[in-house]
Amino acid sequence: MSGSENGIERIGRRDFTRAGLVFGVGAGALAAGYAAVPDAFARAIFTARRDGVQSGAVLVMIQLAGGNDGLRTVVPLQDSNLHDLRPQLAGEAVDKALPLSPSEGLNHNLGRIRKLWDRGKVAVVQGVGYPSPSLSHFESIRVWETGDPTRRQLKGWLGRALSTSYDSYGHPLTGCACGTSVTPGALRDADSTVAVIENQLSYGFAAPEVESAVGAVYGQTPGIYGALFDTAVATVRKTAAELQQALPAPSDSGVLPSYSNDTGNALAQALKLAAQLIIRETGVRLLHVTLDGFDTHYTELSYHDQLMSYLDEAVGGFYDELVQHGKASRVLMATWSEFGRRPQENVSGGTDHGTAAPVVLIGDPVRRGIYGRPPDLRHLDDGNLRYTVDFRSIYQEILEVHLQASAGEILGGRFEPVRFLRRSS
Amino acid sequence: MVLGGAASAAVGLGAVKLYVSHPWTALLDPAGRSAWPSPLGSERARVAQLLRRATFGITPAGLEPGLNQAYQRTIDSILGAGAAEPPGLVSPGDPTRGARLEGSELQRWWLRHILSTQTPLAERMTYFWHGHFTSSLDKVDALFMYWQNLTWRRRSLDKLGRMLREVTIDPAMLTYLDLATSDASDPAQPPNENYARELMELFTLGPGGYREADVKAAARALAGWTTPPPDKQVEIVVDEKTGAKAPIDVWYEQRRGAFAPDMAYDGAVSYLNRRGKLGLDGVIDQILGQPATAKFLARKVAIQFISPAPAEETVQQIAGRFRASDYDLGELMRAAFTSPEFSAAASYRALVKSPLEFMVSAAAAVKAGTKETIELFLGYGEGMGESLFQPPNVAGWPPNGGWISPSTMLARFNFVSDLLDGLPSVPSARGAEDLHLEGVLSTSTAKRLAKSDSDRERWLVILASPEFNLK
Repeated sequence: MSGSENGIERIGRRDFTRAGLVFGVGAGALAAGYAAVPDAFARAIFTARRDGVQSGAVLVMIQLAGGNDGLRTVVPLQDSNLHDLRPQLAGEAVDKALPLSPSEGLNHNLGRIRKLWDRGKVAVVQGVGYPSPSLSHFESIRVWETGDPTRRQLKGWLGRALSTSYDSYGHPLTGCACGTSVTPGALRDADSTVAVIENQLSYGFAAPEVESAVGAVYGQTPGIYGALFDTAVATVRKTAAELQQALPAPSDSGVLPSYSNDTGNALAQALKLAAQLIIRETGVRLLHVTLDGFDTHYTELSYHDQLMSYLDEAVGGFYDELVQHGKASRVLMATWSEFGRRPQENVSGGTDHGTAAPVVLIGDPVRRGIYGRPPDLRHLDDGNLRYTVDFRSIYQEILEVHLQASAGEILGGRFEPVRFLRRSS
Repeated sequence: MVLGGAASAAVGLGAVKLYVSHPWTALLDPAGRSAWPSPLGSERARVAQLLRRATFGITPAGLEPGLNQAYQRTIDSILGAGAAEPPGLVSPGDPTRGARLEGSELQRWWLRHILSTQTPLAERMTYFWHGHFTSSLDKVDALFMYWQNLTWRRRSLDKLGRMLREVTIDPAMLTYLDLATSDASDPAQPPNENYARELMELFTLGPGGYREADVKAAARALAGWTTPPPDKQVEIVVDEKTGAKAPIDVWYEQRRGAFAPDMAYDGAVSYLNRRGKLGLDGVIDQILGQPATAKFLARKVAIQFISPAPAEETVQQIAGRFRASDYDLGELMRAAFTSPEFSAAASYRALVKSPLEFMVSAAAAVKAGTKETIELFLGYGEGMGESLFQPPNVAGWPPNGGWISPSTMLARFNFVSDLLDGLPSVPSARGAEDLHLEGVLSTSTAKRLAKSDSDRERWLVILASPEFNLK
């Protein structure tokens, strides 16, 4: 699977196999194979590939976990139905919204994102969802993570992108989750290695003898968890050393003046780390970060406003830092959430689980605009919005146009195009 | 017993079914790997596995005489031990203490009890229910979380029906899943659905066991339950610097939720194929009437105590015994521990220790002090993906493969290093691999262990090994 794609010389995993360096083709065996590749050879491949991927596009998926209220993120400005459905929540949202058009406005706490809109860096896709929506967080998260509304696929769509279009074995930082200790479902795939970095400060071995001991012990671990263990340990051994060299010592105690004055803003912390990985040319391509707390069944006004300002500060700070270092042209951010919320508010001043919602795309690669149809509050389906854009149309556009990866193979089909990204001339 | 590398035959590990509920299962790949050879033919190994899974791997002095008894008698003795109450954290003589309780104090208090309890199965089950009927310090005050912990322990091996009634009107749960803020008295205003949905989806029936209309009906039927009114309001100093005071709520003792009839729904609902005026009892009874409930809980218990992909037959059998016992939670566990799959070769090392289990068993193995262990847990738990009383979301912690990532493994290794550094003297590691790992080592662990020339190094290899991270 050597070949040129996007002008980048790639050496696929099958080359390892052909060279006799991998002892099997199964997922687990391959993970074992990675650890078993002779060090010098692995390093050579690693270096070669890293030179190649440095010019590559970067995707940052921002998960708004818990179900983000689309109607308070991209606010319909002219729809009286909104006020009927939400006597407590609609008034302020509409009055204070930052207009994008006569009929749509951004949440009033998204001021920095609104400024990016003015500069042509924001696209909004309305009404994103999938057929027969589940109102369960976990089922719906799974649908979005795997890209499969039939719930048969168990591997993540970004994990599949890694294993089909990248070669993360030579380079475990290609796919990376920041600010979490667990691997996000979207990046999960036994055929790819993924770095998971909760906190740069603690991402290193306590002592060299600890690393050498576990390096000797892990590698051919038996049993059903063998591949997971060995891949995790091989990945951390490779990436911890790499990051210690690549990243500057973090400045004073996690304060992030350029992002946020609020150290409770976990998204800002995660994106700060993501920015370092991009700026230092560590070779990251697919990043995943999360902002939690969107399950606003109760007193949504205060909670949601706070979350919107966290999102705004984190995204604004991240973008500015990329610009400062000349990296912004390569980076696309996309928000995702398992579902939107019920158009009608509940008795607790919050909203229950809903369906379709807008996706916001930010960065130099986007074509500014509002895509899709505005939410139709008059024709609800059992109280919830009908989706008008399949979420896989978004993935397809990102994979094909931004990452130049094989969207059809990764998503298992073609979806109606939504052209929110610039085409290179 | 040392396992030969690539040459060893795969023993008894069947293909993992791909449709089972947890996505991690799909990534488990026995095909390219040899299996751990099972020592479970020996009764001693079966007892050791039972204790690892049912008791955090620590053995209270009171149980020690029982350990060389038969497997069945060990089950009887841990199930028969009851649930010892932890020492009170909030003394009745200091009524404002509850309001000043910190989350970290609560974590320390529970860890201390886990490390010292004489009824370890009850503690293990309290931990299981803590990850099942979830609530979080992120949204709920520590006092209510403390009460919840006491309640889960008291009901940990009781009847499911009683447990579910307590869960529904538990003040922390009423807060965490918003039932306390709901109100179904005005038909024009939809009640809050949060608790009603998770009660069915995550706590009892599982996805697919109910319709959206049932969520709406249960939300109506359960509205009216709210947090208990305080016994008193007291002014306390809230800012030491300025001396500023503020009123706080004080409860003289642990309370359940209170029922406010003016917030309740007065009419009939159609819920899980029954129509009528259903209150708390009516809703719980309908849930217990569904065969899905026993099966859902049996599967969850099987995934956390037997195998990440338990056989359908195992789940059915445990569910059958559970339901036949009028949903006795002790019988649920007995059915799991005595199921043939529990002791089958393929179940050996089929589960991953949670961070808590890993740290507690490691600390116990090297006889670390209680205080040091607690502080290490507070320092390392989050990096391993677990902070007590703070589940990642309402579904709790994803078990088994969900614990393994580059970041979490690193935290586990660094914890071991810190644990050993903090010991006044490192105990002898002679025989540790037999005592803690039944002598079943991979070739690379065995080789590295043989090369180690100090007790510290031997413990480092043993405690950091994949063998010790499994149960």
